[in-house]
Amino acid sequence: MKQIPKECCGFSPAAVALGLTAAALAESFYGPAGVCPPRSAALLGLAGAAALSLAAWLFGFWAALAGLFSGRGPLPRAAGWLFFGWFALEFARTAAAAQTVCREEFGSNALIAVLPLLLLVTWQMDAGALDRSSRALWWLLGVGAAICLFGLADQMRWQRLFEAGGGAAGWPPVRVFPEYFALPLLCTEQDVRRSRAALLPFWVWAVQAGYAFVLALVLGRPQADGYTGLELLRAWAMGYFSRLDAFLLLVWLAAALWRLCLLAFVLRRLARLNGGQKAPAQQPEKGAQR
Amino acid sequence: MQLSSNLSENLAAFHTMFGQSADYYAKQVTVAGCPAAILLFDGMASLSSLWTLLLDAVDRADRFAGQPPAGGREIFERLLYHSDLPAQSGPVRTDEEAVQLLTAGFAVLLLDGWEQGIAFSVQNLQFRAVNEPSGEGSLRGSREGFADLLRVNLSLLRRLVRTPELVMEVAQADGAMRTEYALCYCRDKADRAMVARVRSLLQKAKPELLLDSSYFVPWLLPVRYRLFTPAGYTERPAVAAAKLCEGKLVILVNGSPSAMVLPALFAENFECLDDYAATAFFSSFLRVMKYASFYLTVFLPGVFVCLAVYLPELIPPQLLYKITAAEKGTPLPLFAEMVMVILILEVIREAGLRMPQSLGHSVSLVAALIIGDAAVSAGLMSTPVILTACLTAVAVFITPSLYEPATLLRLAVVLAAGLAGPVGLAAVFLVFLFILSDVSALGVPYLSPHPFPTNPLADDGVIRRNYRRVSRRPFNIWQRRG
Repeated sequence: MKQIPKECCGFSPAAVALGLTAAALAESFYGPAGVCPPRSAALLGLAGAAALSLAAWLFGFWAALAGLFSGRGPLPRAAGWLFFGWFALEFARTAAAAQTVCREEFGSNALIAVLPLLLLVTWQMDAGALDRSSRALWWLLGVGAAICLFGLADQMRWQRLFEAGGGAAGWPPVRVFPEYFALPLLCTEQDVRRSRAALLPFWVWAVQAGYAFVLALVLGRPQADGYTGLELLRAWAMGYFSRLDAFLLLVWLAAALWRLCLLAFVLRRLARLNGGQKAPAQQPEKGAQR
Repeated sequence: MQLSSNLSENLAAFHTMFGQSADYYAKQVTVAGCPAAILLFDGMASLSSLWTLLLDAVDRADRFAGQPPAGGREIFERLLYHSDLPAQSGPVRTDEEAVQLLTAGFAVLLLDGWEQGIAFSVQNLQFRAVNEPSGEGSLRGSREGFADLLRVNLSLLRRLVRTPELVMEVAQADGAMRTEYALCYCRDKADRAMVARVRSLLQKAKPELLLDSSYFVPWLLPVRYRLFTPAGYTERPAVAAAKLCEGKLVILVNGSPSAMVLPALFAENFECLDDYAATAFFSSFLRVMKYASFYLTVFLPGVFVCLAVYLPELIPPQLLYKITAAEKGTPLPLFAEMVMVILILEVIREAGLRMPQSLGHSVSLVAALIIGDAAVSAGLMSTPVILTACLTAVAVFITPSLYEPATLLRLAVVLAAGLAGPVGLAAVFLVFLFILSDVSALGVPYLSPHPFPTNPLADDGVIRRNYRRVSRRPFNIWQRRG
């Protein structure tokens, strides 16, 4: 079995990317539609992702060398608390986005009751189990996106890509996630060294640029204000089925809840590292389970 | 306790232990002039073969002709080391050993003047014939199923895996019945450390009664709550042999035809012997159907409740009208109706399983009348709910090994979807996923053969490739460790 250092969570880059995809999709859902042209989202976004990726790789390399996530010494401890705050902020932001979707799209506040229950279920889980569960969600997201594209295919018009007017062409908004710079904490040393983990900004870019591209193909550049990215999902219909956006929103909700569990896991790990606590002793009675 | 050199003392000790038992047989004889006694259990050892093989041979005058009269020790050595009699290779030194052999169907010869006995292999145990197991149907391949007797089961395995690498370690469980069990593995394929770990866990296990290999699970995989068990069970020697060749460990218990396979993968619940006999395309189709049925049985009632109650706009209008019309006539809310139908179906299933077979048809008929007709006519339940619940109840039998988790999860999904709507549905799906991905045994995750995105469809996973191609890279379970 692979030996993973105690300070490292050991997630695969694909698992971390799932959380980032959920966050990027949330931004696309509730961001104003058509503000950023798809070409600038694609080209300038790519440049932004490349810059972020380079910065993430260099920082990760230095952080691994300097033992920034070891929790020993003043600098690692300060950095640990800084990242703790950043991840906590990200947790709050993701929870707020999920609650917004639940309230506005499903008319339910059940998340308030469900989230603690989910966190309780994942409390004793190891990173490998969380990592494995992300694969099924990737499949679901992939299938959901494919069905959505299939349902929208007849509404896509290429000429809408070249419509004039609307929003100002400039740099698309670039969100910096704490995952980019916490690679030695999140992923294995092998992944950090092979720079696979540093490609995370490209995942976010692909999601946001792809969403902006399809949005422009379907809706063009909405002239009125107040349109959000959710209009793309609302435009999706298949024959007798209406409001299919709820289906993809449910899949997104599952991914967002998964991200919350991942962030809670990272926060627990950071709190333990910063507090100088040792990893919990292996339970004596595990039998042949692990 | 050590056997005595005095035959009378030994006989008295055994008489104290078994004298009141009707099947205990002790016959005093004379072997080459030396007083001796034959001990056995009637029905377990064959008296006729004993006399034919043993006493007839040793009583022949020419066997011991020309040799001086001997004491117990000399006769013991002649019989054990210098004769062709079918005796166990080692002597019987203690009464515990003697009891162990006697209860396994051996006959024990005790000689006056020597504190060791000889065990003769004259077993004549009655056992159920090697039939096809009723729980694991297949169209092609072997029809043999494990019997109840451990030695017979071991011989069935040995007949299929004809390599010196197959090891079958037999030991006695530390329980009230001292039941024998066997740990089987292929020396060249199984992980040695894991074999040692399982062996040690089995030795430490203290089941009060050991009636099946599954009784070992709380010692092998101790956990407070479990939905999915990373151990497989089979009653087919062919399946057990295939698992051994994949490097897995097989545990057999005397008295049970059910072999435990460790570690098991989630994907194996959707595989069967026929998969490899049919074409790759067809078996892949069947596997996809099985996966679909399993997810259907877990999620369909919950999804139905969630859509009908919270997201009706996701249901096509014509179907929605029908559901609404059916629901208008029933007094209970749809969610409560669904829970009730699921529970009633479980009661009927349990009744059908436990009752005498002669009554089974009557119960099925009455249940079908109650559920299918009377409940709808009385306006207690709606047809769409009954249809959904029945569909899921049938679908679960496609993967019988997942019956327990599927039943509990189905109820959990209905409760979550009914109480918390779409959010509850998403959450319970995640819980299902977390539970499934948190299971592992001997370092092998239960969900291991689906790496994403590198190799989403493994050679022999949700779909399977041509068997010739699969055979090029033999599968070994220890490659799957996380």
